[in-house]
This record gives sequence, C-alpha cells and structure tokens, in this order.
Amino acid sequence: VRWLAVVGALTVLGSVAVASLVLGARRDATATAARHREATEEIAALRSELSALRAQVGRQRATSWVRSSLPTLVAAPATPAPPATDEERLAADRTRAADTVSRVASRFHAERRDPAWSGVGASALEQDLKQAGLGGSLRGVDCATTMCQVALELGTDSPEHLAERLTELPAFQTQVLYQHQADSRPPRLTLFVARAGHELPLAPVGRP
Amino acid sequence: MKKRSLFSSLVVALVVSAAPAGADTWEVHGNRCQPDTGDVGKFDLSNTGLFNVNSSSSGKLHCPIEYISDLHTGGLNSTTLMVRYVDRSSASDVTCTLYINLFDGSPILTQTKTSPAGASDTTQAFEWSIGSEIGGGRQLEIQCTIPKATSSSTRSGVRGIRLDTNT
Repeated sequence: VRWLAVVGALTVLGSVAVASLVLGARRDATATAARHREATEEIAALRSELSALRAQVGRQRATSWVRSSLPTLVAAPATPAPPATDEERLAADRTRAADTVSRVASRFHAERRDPAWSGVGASALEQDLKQAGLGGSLRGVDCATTMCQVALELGTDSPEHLAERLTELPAFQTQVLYQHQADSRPPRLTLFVARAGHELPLAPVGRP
Repeated sequence: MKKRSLFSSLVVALVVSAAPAGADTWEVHGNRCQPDTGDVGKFDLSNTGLFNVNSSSSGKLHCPIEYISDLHTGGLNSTTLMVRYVDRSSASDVTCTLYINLFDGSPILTQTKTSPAGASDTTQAFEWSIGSEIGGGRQLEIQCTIPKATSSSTRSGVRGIRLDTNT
C-alpha cells in the first residue's frame, strides 16, 4: 500500500510537472506571438512616420529651391527702390559707355600696325574728313590691324550732327565707337573706326 | 526612384512655367519708318513696305527702334536687329546705318551696312548683332538710303524691322 501511495504521488507530481511544462510553453508561444505582433505594428508605424518625414523634407527642399531660383517671383521687395533721375541714368550709362570705350582702346593699343593696311586706312579716313570739310577738326589718325583711332576737336559742329555727316563718308561706313570728352575745351571726340570686314570688341570676352 | 524622378519633373515644370520670358521679339512693318524732311514726296506707303517711287534721286528713311526697357537694363542681354529690304537698283545700293545714342543725344555707336552689288527682287536683310549696347535709356534709330526707282516696277524699299533679344 505504501509503495502504491508513493507511485501514485510520483505519478501525480509527474503529471503536474508535465502539465506545467506544457502550459509554460504555451504561455511562451503566446508571448512570442504578442511580441511579434507588437514589433510588426511598430515597424509599420515607423515606416509610415518615415514616409511622412520624407514627404515633408521633399516639400521643404522644393520650396527652398524655387525660392532661391526665382527670387524676384517669390519674394518681392517690401519697399521698391525710388526710380533713378535722368541725371543718374545718364551718369550710369556714361559709365557703361566708358567701360566699352576702355575695352576697345585697350585692344587698339595692344594691336600691332598692319604694314599693308595701317597707312592706307589712315589716309582714307583723313581724305574723307578733308573732303567733308572736317580737315580742320582732325587732331590725329592712327591705324593698327583691325581698327583706327581718330582724334577730333569739335568746333561749331555738335556731335549729334557730326555722326550723320561722318556716316556718309565711305571710310566711316563700318562700325564707329564714340568717346566724348565733353569737359575738354574745346570739346574733343575720339573715334574708334573698325576696318572693313572687322568689328570692334564691344563686349567683354565670353559675352555676346 | 520613380517617385523621385516624377517629383523632379514636377518641380522643373513648375520652375520653367513660372520663369520670366528669356526672349523678346519685336517686329514692325516698314511703314513705321519716316522719310527725311526733304524726301517726303518720294516714298509710297504700301501694304508690302515703304518704297522709293521717285525716279530722279535716292531718298532717306528714318526708322526708330522701339524696345522694352525692362528687358534691356543694360549689359545683361544679347540683341540682334534686322532690317528687311528690297534692292531692285543695279546702279546703286541700299545702305542702312544703325545709330545708338545716349538719351541726351550723344552718339555712342554707328554701324553701316550696304547691300550686295546688283539688283534683286528678293527680300534681303541687314543684321546688326549689338550685344548689350542697348538699354539704360539709349535711343536707337536706323537710317536707310534707298536708291531711286528705275520704273514703276523696279522700286526699292524697306519691308520691315525685327529686334531679337535674349535675356
């Protein structure tokens, strides 16, 4: 009887142990499944958040690019600058013209004389000026390779009318750039006259 | 990748459509030109252009050039001017000079073009590439000397003017 009781007790204990093992395993499996579910949900939430952040960054980049590309379209100045007066505009334009003259003069001084043309070109200009009655105004003619420099001292002729008179002369029917020295007394005028078939270097290098 | 390229295309399209016009073209009929004071009776206005009908002497035309100052602020663009003309005279040529003046009338630049020798019924063109020598209040005019007519059907004249600018 005692042995039977011991065996019975052992059996009961074994059953309880097996049952607890089985139940534990089931709890573990349930917990693992729950963690997996949570992880899956968390990943989905993170993906969604990442997607939203990407979209937001994209929008910000596009906005900043458009702003930086088109400053005048997006950001108008709060207070427009006052319009320039005629004197200011004229002064600005004289400065621009002086830059052009400076560029052409530099090229002229850097050029060598063309022995086959420089003398002939200078004579043609002189001759035309004399025939037009402007020989008395001539202070000098010098020709390089692609252009000539003509110095005139103006008398009663205003530069406005002089331009029309000059363009009727064959030697001046190319390209002529005017440099006014209005402050000199009497007023002086320097002309850069392109050789036929050539153009004056009006634009900076690399610009049209 | 596909989304990114689609987005880029959208932004580029937005920028291109919103960008200011990069080119300006102005066209005008030859009748815009005016005869010189002494040549008023020599020219005939017609729908095809302004022609010298005088059989005794050549005549001069003055053609003012109009441009949009906002697109020519000075030094930021390239400009081409074109005069379309007909030279039916075998004895003399059509000659046109571009004058660029400061707005106080001081000349800055003149450039003269002459038609090829010989007569032609076709419409030809003079072209001036003046770069950025425009804007800032400068005044532009083209003066053309048109040969005399040798008969009622051999008249020379100006058909029109075109100005192209790239900003």
